[in-house]
Amino acid sequence: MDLKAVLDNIFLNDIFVTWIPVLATIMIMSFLYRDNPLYKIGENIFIGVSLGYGWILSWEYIIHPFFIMPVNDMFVEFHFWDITNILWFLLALTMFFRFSRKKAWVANYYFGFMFGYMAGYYIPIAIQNILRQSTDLMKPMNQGSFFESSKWIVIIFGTFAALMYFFFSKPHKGVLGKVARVGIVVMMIFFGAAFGSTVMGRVSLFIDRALLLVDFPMQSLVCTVAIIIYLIIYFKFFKKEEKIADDESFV
Amino acid sequence: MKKILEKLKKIDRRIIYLVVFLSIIIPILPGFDFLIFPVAPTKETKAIFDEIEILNEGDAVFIDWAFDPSSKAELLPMFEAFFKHCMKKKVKVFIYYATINGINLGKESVKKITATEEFSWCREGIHYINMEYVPIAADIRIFNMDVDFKGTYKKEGKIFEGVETLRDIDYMIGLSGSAYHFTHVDMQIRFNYKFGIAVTGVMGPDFVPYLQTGQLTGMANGLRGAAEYERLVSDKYEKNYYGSATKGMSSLTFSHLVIFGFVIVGNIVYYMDKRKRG
Amino acid sequence: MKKEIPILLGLITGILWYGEFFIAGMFQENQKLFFSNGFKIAGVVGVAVGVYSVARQNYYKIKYNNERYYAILRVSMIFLMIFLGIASGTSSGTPFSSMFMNVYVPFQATVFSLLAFYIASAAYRSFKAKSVESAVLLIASIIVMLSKIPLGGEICSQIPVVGEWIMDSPSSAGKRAIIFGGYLGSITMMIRIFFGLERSHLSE
Repeated sequence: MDLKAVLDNIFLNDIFVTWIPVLATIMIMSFLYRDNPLYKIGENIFIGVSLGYGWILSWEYIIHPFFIMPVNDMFVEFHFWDITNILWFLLALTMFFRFSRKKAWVANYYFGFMFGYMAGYYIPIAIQNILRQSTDLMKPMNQGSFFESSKWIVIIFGTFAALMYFFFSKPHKGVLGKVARVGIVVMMIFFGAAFGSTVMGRVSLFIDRALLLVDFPMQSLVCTVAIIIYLIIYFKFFKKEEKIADDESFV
Repeated sequence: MKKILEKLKKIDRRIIYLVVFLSIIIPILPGFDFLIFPVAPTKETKAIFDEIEILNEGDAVFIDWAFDPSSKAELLPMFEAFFKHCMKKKVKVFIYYATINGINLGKESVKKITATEEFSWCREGIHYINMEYVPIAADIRIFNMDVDFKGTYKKEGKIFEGVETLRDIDYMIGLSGSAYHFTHVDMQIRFNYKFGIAVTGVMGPDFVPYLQTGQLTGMANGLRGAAEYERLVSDKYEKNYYGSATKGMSSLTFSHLVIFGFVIVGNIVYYMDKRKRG
Repeated sequence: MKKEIPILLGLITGILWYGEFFIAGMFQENQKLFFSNGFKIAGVVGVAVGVYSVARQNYYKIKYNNERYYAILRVSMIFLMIFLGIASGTSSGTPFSSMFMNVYVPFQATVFSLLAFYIASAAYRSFKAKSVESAVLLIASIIVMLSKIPLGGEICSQIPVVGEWIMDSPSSAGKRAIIFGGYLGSITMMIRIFFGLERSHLSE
């Protein structure tokens, strides 16, 4: 029997495509009740599949085009600039020495080079961005409408106030202290806005899963009932559920 | 009253989870379509839409796909709406995957769109191309702005006509579930390319200063941004391009209301308890 | 010499790349390809390091019976994916792609979606207006959350306007201050790396 046909029959049939995603979703969601072996099995399947997927695609998109093929080309016709690729390869190989306790210093050559290069190209970019952010603050406060003008007044004074909060060379007393306090309030507003956006972001992640469960209602119901029965049996007969103290709850 | 207060103070977190679960799943059940409210587009999302609207047929758009399945809920609907918009405008789309985990997700999504009757004319290599992955991470700009575009990604096709380097790209959009695109935004000052971004809700407030400095031309923030873009494209072409983002807005509404409720109840319990203790 | 030569190497490379910013054409695009190719080769070695690291970790777990059966399950899944990738290819519509779409995607998406529940629990337990600052945080977050949902505009037409004002104005001011601090801190850190004052990235 053709191997490809067998694999297609197993992994491309409707049962696999409809039941497995729902089962995977509900297995992981069982963690919301309590950590259990079903969640651990799902987690380890996920880790294994992700690693295998990553390695196969790494071969296809990284190793084969940027190592195997250049090495083949080098054997066909060697150019003097291929020496640079060999040197790069030897430098990158020093990364393996991180696994050795005694010879870990050999990896310093690669990491020293990398961090030096990153520092060199990033410093001008960071300075450029600071200057751009600073020059953007130097706008006239009158922006046409009251709405836009109020925005810019708050941005300019709010930014200065928040920066004053980070000024540690003088004690935060008197005028500086009051301005620093305004700065804290401005940053709290930013954190509040960030929290509001974060709530939207996090809830959206589950909305996608909910849409999947609603698209396959029969599979969702069957898997949910099965896992609830499993959880009841597991925690009643195999593992006594300890009372969750208030400070042990997740958050 | 005291008993209720004690119960609320020590409420099992699993009851909170159940309430949140119900608030998310009930509005998307069949028969609850009346709970879908229209989404008014914000100026940031409209800015991305307008940038594509001013492009002509044959102009080039570069999509920097930098998210994996963990952020697909918010960014995949945005990608689908954006891709459909680009195909309707007949602009060339180059999809680069900055993460290996996004490649198959992107290809499946494009395959799903081009399998529909409306977009069945779209051909890979002519109207769009999957550039796949090249392991140079965020240094794509500093190394590749002025080098051979085709050679860097080792791809061929009629789509590359007129696009010699990255400078020939008319608009770039980043779809990011992490801090990956901060480097692209930082380098925008040096290389001066038009750059828009679609981010997860978590990252939205972090990019607002870059919108104000002009380093970003537009920003679609999370699921709401994706729903706004779907609405813009649907209104423009008077067709139903609504996807999972618009469907999910009703769940978003009710789950937010439930979370408000929790915050308010939590604060009431805290203050009543504080008053009780004196 | 275990740290000095790597630091000197980093300094020379850093100076070259610092100079490249100011002297246009200092690196011709072909010479930039030298670095570009180099990072691709480093990517290859990085993958090999990752594979070796995972193999070593799972080997010890199986050998010393530390969650042995879970490690065996993990390794089996790795081999299954490798087998499917080689046997059927990685393009769309293959068993490999089906495993990705129907196993990997649901698992990863669900693991991250649990955060929705945790944030609700955190909002109930920890999000309390205990001081002026936390009250400001609370009010700002509520207004922003209301402005994000379509119902916010239906409750009061000014909510989206106020939400937009908060995002564009005080929130942006706070973020800019953090951006300034972040860039200044990263410049300081980069200069320290440049001159070898910062050695935490190098091992003994």
